[in-house]
Amino acid sequence: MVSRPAPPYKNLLPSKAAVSTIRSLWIRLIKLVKNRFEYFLIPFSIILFIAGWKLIIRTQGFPEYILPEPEAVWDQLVVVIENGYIFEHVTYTLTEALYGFLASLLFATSLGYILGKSRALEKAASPYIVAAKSIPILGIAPLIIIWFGQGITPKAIIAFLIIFFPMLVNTIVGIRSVNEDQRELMRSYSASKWQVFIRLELPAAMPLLLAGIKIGLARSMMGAIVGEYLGGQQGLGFLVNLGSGLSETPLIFASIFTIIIITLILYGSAAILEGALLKGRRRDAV
Amino acid sequence: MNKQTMSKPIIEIQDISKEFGSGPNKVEALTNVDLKVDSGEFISLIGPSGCGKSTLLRVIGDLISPTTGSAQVKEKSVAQARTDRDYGIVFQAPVLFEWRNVRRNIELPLQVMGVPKSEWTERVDAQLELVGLQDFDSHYPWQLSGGMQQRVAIARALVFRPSILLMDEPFGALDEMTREYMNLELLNIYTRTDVTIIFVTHSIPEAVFLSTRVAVMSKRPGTISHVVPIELPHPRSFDTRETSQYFELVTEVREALREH
Ligand SMILES: Nc1ncnc2c1ncn2[C@@H]1O[C@H](COP(=O)(O)OP(=O)(O)OP(=O)(O)O)[C@@H](O)[C@H]1O
Ligand SMILES: [Mg+2]
Repeated sequence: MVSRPAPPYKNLLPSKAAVSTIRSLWIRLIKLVKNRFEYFLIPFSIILFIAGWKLIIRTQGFPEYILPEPEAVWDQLVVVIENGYIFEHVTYTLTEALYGFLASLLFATSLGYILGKSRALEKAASPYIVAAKSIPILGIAPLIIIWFGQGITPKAIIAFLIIFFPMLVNTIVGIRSVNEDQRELMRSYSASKWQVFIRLELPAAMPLLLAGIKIGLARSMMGAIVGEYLGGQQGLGFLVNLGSGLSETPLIFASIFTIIIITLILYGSAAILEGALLKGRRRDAV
Repeated sequence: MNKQTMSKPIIEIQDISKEFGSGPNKVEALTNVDLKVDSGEFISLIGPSGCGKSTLLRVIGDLISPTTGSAQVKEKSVAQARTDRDYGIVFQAPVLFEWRNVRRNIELPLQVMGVPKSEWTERVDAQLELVGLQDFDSHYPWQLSGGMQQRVAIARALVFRPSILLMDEPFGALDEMTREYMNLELLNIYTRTDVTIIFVTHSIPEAVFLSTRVAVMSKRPGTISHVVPIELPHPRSFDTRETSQYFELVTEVREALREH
């Protein structure tokens, strides 16, 4: 058989397959906008926020040392990003926060597990826990700076103290949430203590553990910044402090926005982790 | 065809009593319970709500210990029998792990007991087919109806082939059709293997249809008041339920229950 030559314009027309992929992509995009409408509101709300900001300055006539223009804050951000200045401070604060968080993860969950398992121990420890909980962290933060100096350690300790109790309580409640029938089922299999822990207690407590981790990550940033505010020469809290010392409001705002963004990223990654680990569970139970 | 029975009973319960709580809240759940079960028997426990059926099952399964009396399984303590993984238990509620899908729930005992992973799929598939949930293996418990959840629990109890099945109203949540089908399937498993079954039910016809003996329990004191031997020939089928012998036995159990 002789093959017929293809018409010369054939390559110029999109193939049927391409048309249908483009169409299905377009349909999916529309579906996405419909289902995830809230996400498409985000840019809109940011624009609204900036417009409101400018409006206040226009109508009230605030000078820059009271409230800077959004552009001034933006320019400041661009400068500190371009010279890499901001990254040093972000790294510093993040390091403190993560050390505090990891220490809390280690101690709060292991202590929480022990107290969650034994009502007697929890009763014995509860006066100390309540007493320790009522100590105002802001009150003892200066002491911690005095004792541990100006470095990373005191800030990590403050971050640790701020998130320790919420994480402890979440672990205790999580371990308590294990259903007695499920324990009996494991008992009927003659499961070892380790198996009960890894197959039952850990997954059963997971929703509350993850909630604790989410809060812990966000608040550990706050703890570290409070510590920096009180002493030291580095970190985002120090930058805020520096800005207010110099009456450089754009610097203060730039630092605050950076803090917000970093915290959102931490919270968001914890939420993604949560989504992955709780896959398949009923939504309202989470 | 009657199954071959050993001379020594597989379950031997002597003068068991069980009290819960103390003082004004004290509940005597079981008093003077005696029961001998031969290997390969199918015993139904029937009796009014709160008479201690679940409690008796939990004593045998070593999930609670009796206040007085002794319970032995295969000439060893119930605790040893539990350690040896002799029991498959179907609880009154499904008790599934909500973070595991159907397949992974049925795999749980295999995982805990260290059955080689290469056997899991085949074994779980067989159970899924048995309980009619082949198409639901990746569903999560909250996506299933109550009856479907209970069928998962049954599959999970059967999957590790225990020598003694303790079943607490396993078919209570099922519709009549599924229930009859599950009755036949259970009988099928029972005749194919040498499993011994203790089966709690509220249904007299179901107890008579399935059992080799029906133990009738009374309330206050919670004890076994009558034991009715069911000498219907195996294998049993839908036709068994039409025979006059079957009706006579149903009447006998009903009257034993009414005596209180
Ligand atoms: N853990 C417990 N603590 C206190 N009392 C209990 C406990 N378990 C059972 N009881 C009591 O023991 C008695 C027998 O309970 P059991 O659950 O064995 O009854 P049952 O025959 O299975 O009833 P049903 O047919 O309704 O399931 C009841 O009066 C109940 O209140
Ligand atoms: Mg019961």
